[in-house]
Amino acid sequence: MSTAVADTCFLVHWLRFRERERIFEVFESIAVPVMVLDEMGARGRVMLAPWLASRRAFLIPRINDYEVEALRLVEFSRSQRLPTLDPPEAYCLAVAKRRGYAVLTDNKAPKYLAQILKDYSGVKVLDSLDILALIYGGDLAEAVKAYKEDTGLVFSRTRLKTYGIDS
Amino acid sequence: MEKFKEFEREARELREKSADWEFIEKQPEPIKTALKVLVENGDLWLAAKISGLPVDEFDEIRIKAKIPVVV
Amino acid sequence: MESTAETAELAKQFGFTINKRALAKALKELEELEHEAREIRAKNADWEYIEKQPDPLRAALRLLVETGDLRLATHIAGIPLDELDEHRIKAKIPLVL
Repeated sequence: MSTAVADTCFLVHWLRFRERERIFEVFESIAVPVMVLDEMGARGRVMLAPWLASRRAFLIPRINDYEVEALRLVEFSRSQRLPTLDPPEAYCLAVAKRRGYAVLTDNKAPKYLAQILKDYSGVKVLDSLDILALIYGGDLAEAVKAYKEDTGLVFSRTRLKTYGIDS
Repeated sequence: MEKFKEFEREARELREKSADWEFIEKQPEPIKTALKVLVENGDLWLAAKISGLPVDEFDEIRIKAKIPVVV
Repeated sequence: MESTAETAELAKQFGFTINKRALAKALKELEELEHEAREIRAKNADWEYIEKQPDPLRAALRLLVETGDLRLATHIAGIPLDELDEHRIKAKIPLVL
């Protein structure tokens, strides 16, 4: 099993989910950049604490090389028609590429950039629906319903159809 | 490795026994959770990060909570 | 508006190489998804709750309905991201993935 680096915009949603522990059926550990933790208030930190304490999650320090790469990604993303990359997402992408991690984010920009940039084509970028599909397989419809109740997230009809779910 | 595990076990027991749980339970989140993490695994830096406070400020609270750092 | 060729040239300046087919596909998908998402956010939002909030939180929630950008809304609101997410849920603003 592998490691994923998590953006805030995935963690704040996933940590609300009633079956959040099941993510460790997909990943051995979750890497959390310190800048991601810094975006969290009390609630997020309290929810994340057990994972950090048990070492299923670990903090990644700020590393200059990754920050330089993140800036390169942010600058490029601002200059064309795709959604703009935020610095923490860019940092996650830079870390993932160097360390062979997957990226967990519910924002679109990192996913699309990984698709269009050849250098990043090997980086897997997964959002909540992707993780739910990996965990629940054939029971995805129920999981999606529960996830929506817990997080207020909705999945696009087009994407759900690809998983055989009529919303 | 065995010596290390034994040391860790003793250190955790000492932290649990010494801690002022009344003080800990009165703290606002995320400081309360951070103090509990500190009692559990003794990692001051990690606990400070969870609390959102600078390490030295968190250490002040650790002292008030009577949680020893075992070396 | 930049063409795919212009984007590829721009990418080169940053030291990146573009997969042009993937770019064209991504842009098309995004346009469709964003249209659906904006409709869903606007339809479901509890505007009464939103309008009762003090600024800048109110402005942040309106921005969130418009763009779906949680992080940007967080910067506007000036509160931690998970706190804004609590308000998002109370305001019944879905995020569409």
